[in-house]
Amino acid sequence: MTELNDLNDPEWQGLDPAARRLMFVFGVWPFLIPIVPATLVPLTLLPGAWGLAVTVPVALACLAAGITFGRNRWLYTRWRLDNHGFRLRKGRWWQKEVFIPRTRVQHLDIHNGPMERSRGLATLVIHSAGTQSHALKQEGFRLETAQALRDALIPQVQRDDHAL
Amino acid sequence: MTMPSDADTPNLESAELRLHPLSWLFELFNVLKQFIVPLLVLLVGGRGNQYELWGLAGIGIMVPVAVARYFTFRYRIGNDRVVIRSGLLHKTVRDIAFTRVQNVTLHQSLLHRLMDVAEVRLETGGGEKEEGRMRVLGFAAAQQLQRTIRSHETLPGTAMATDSGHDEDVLLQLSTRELIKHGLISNKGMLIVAAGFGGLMQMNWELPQRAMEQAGRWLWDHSGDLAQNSMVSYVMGAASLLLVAFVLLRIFSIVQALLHYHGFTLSGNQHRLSIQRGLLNRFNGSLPRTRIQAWTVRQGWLQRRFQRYGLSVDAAAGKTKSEALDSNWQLAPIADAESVTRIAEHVLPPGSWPIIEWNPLHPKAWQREFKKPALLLLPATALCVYAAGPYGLLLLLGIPWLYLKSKLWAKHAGYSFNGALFAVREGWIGKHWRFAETAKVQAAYIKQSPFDRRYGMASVFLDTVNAGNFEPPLAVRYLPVQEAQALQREISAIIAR
Repeated sequence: MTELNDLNDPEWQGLDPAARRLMFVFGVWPFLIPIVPATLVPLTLLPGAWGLAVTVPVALACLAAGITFGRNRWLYTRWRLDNHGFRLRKGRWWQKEVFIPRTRVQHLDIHNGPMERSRGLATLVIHSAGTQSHALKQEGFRLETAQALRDALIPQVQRDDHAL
Repeated sequence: MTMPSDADTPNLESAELRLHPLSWLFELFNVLKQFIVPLLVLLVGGRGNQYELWGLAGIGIMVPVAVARYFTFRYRIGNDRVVIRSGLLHKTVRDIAFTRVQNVTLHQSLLHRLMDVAEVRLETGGGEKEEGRMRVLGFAAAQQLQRTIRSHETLPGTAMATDSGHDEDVLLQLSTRELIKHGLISNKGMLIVAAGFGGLMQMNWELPQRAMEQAGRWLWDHSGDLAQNSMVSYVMGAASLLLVAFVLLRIFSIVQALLHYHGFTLSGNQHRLSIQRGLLNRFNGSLPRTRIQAWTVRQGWLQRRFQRYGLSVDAAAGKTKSEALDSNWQLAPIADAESVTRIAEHVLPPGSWPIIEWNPLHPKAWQREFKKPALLLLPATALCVYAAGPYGLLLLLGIPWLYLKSKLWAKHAGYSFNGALFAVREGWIGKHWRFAETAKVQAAYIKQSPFDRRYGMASVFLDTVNAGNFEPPLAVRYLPVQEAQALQREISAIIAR
């Protein structure tokens, strides 16, 4: 089996370790939302302890899926900057690799909210003129790394505009 | 900056011009459009109430506003720009440089044509709406303005080549015969039926109901006769009803094609492709060649019988939602293979289209297309057997059909890449081809689902500007993973240059 997203590839870098817990938490909590209706509905509709027979397995499944997803999110996001442009690999089950060449970068944003700021992290957004890739967003960079990436990818003033 | 046109039009710089004297009428009409349906209800249906009369009072206010707009709107054509002054209380001066104008379109509805005027829209492709809208100019003045602006359209460094560049080659002209064919193929008649039905409902919503009731009653009255003549007449009746509906729909489609595309002319010079079309509403617009992004060629089953194709392109057009700068341009609603080649080669390098050599997908690609629907058919069959007994097993007949379908699908699917042009093709009953110059690709993706991984496959997807939602993606699925990776690397290296 040929994995697209090969974790042992030395040319690819992972995200900042400080982002691991943050991305885990933000990865898990959407999976916990279904637990609320899965608790309320069976416990009110089904008599006695039968409700628990639905609630407990659903809650466990959600938790397991959330934990797997949350861990994979940080672990399976890897990036690479070469002299052509920026490459990003994402995903454990549905894997993808995006390449945005430097010549196609329109502009770049660096965001960091309070949670990220306190950990010295930042989110990088690469804008291109494409339809799906119009804003490639990736969180979990160290602020300095994000700034270095921005400086490396910033479009040159005198570049050709023939792509548009 | 001296332009050759200075000599011909010496005093244009100073002259400040007004719109056509009748433009207040069109301004008014534009506002009234929103009220026209309730008004019709009022006049025809006679079912209006007090609130709708208040709407009429609003119109009384609109007339002076429209007239005031006419008196406050001035424009001036300079040597290199057009300056538009407008506004009664809140004044605006808008300065549009000719070289920034991406598109000048003339719109003429039936009313415009009766008065020999046209609405001019100047679009720079920057904002949400067109930057300059002149409602309305005399037709001759509008054409003059269009010519003036287009004469300034020069590529940097080719200022001298403009004279030859402004001769337009006609690339495609559709005769009435072709349009009838297009009507037969397209299903746009459905839109007319829906719109007509909606309109009827607006006017008098009991009418369609009554028509239905009438039809129902007729069937009920004659059901005795039908029943006497056994099953056959039932089937005959149903079939003839379907036939009438089908014929009517085709007729509507043909009418729609004739109205929309009458006199369709696609022409091109070194800067742009221009389209003129329309029987009642005339449209005259153009698309700069450099804004063409990805191409789509389609051929449905009926089109193949007629040996015709449909050709459309995505255009980079900002966020504009206007008709003229639509991000999807139908360059040829119906064209034979030669015309498609002629249009494609007008923009792309010669020999780009049609593509002779296609690379196949992974040899097992057909299994991917086959397995998922075939597996889904099994629980569906189980349900049917549960509900309808052994007859439910008939659903399994779908499996050989799916098998055949996926085999044929995989046979036609493929991709082609020669460094300058990337193309994919898919489809069996309805085929499509999608291609784009590598220079227009913004980002290169490679994707692999768990199912892909089992087969050692991956897909390559290329992102272009304004790829329409209704267009097939510029993507090739079910490639051997090494081939996909190599292809993505190769394209990446080219677009990074």
